[in-house]
Amino acid sequence: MSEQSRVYPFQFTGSGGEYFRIWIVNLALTLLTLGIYSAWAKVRRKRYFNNHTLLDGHHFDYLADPLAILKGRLIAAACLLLYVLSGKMFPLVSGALLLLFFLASPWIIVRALQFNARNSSHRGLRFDFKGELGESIRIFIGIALLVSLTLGMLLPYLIYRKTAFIAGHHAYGNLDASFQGRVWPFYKTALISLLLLVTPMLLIMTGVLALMGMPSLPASGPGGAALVFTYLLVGVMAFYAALPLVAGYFSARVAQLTFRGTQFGSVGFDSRHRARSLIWLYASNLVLIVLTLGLFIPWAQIRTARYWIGNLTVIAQHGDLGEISAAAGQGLSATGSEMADVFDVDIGLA
Amino acid sequence: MTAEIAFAAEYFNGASSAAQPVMAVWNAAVRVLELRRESDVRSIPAADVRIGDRLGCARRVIYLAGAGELHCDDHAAVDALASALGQGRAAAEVFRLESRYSIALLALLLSLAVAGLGLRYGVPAAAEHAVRLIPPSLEANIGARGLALLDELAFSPSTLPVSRQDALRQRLAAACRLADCPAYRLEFRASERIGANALALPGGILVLTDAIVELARHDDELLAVLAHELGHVRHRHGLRQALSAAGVVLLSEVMLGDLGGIADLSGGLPLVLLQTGYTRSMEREADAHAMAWMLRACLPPHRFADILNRLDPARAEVKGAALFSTHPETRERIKVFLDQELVTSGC
Repeated sequence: MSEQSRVYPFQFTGSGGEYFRIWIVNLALTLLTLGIYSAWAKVRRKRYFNNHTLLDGHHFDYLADPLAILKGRLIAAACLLLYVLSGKMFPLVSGALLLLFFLASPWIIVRALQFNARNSSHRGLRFDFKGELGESIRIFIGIALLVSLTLGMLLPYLIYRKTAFIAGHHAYGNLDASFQGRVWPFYKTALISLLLLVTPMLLIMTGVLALMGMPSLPASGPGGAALVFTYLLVGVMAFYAALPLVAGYFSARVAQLTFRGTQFGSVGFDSRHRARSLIWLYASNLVLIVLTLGLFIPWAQIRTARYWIGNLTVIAQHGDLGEISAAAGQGLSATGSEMADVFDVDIGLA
Repeated sequence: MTAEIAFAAEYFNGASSAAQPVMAVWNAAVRVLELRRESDVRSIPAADVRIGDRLGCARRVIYLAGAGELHCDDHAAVDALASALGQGRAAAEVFRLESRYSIALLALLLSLAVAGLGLRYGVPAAAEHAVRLIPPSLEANIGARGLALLDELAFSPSTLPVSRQDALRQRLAAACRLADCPAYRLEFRASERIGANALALPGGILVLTDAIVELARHDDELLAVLAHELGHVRHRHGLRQALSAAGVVLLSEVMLGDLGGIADLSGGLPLVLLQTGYTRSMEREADAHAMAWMLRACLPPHRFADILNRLDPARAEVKGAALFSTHPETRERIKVFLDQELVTSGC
């Protein structure tokens, strides 16, 4: 079996300079059209990234109708305006809106994933998302509520279920994805992340305890106070320094768990994303964006995409990728007309 | 017709992921696109051919309705096909704009200019119009919540005797009988943070701090200060500023991202009252109101200058919906009130 299995690396061919020109011209057009063009700009941006993502020499495509995106944006902007205006004036109304949004979120998530998947294609075949509303409600309302009831003990389980729901219900052509990951590695990742955070937090807590103990130690004087202050400061700084490290570790591990657990028929994935590279990527992007007053954003996006895509490979258990999908037979055609659904709006989540 | 349009491409039939090499030839006479593979020829009518927009150096896609798609790198040939089909003129224009660094630089400068002008003029102008759409009851509600928030953050209860507070309220009411006033409510608060100061909240809540009441050597000076604040109330400056701040957030959302930061926006309007001072033109408007109002209420305008002069500049320099800040115009503002004689004819 391993003799027949072939490895196909993903490639990202976008370049910062080229994307910068696209980004800035689209931004200017968006401003000149009072935001209307932003829908077209979004399609161009997404297309740029998809078109420059190659698998086995063939690119991905993004086919969304900008009008559908514009519609979605207008709805989102109206909701936002309603929420902001009612915000602090009618807490009851804004509370009701928030509750409504929470109740609608499983539906919104499914529609957004569907919109994104159905508008993405590769080799002339569309993707699809087949997650069901019932399961979405169970996860994003049921388990989400249980997470707060159990004071976060179920959070890794929620992340696991979310991953399984999203990764396991995509389809390519008529090849359905399945997610075989287990829940334990998610708990392990979360526990290690917690440990990485706890060390600086312990420092802070010791500092607080020492500060509270101060009145009983009058002999220590102002010098002692300065010491405790320094100690506290070190603790807080250590906490903030640890936060991006933990975030880098966590996202790298979750990416590995997600990709390695996902199969499209006999086609699987491997992820070589590493915590330290992600931390370096995000930290250097942040510094350069700040130093260039935001001008570096397009290059940062290209770097990020190159890292994520470049460290992903596809493993085909038997044979050629073209053959495998060909065996899948009739799928959703890239030019199919399933998109005529009036409710197909892009909410901007996916 | 012009030279024949023909190019090599990869054909995907939309049912399988297999790529088939084909030769695409545009038959101008019958307006069909022919896909030739060895002896096999498939004809696609022009109406079913949609040329994908060109985007950077990415491969070009031609979408064939119900029959899959073609991928190819021969941009010149595909562009020729697009113009033969009469498609993609706007897209070609956008591609041209995106291809040059000189245009990118221009777009950058244009974006900065639009953002700058939009923030400076566009947002306040829009806020001025939006203010008219907000009913007074809503405005009063914002003001009340703003006061509640300030009570939490910056104010403590006034230590002035109730009799003193009532006397000042009566003085203001009496003046309002002479000169017309918008709906208002006068409040007294103590505040370490803003010192001797006065402010107006949306909906007509006027606040005098204990320190400014003590600083005044004549009640008319306090009435002068209130005249200025009533100007802010009449012109609904507080609400305009709050809406402007919301507009700034909305504009940056449009510019910088997909509407995602819903949580950031809920920071709330009342807090904004503390963070943004009035613009200079608003201060001038309030001053003009104070002047006209004082003349009608038979108050000598120099009272306003007197108390302005006495405010400790260090304490008055609190950014906020506060009465005065130490910008260079203060001297000029004072001078106007000193120069104006009280016309005693009607008094």
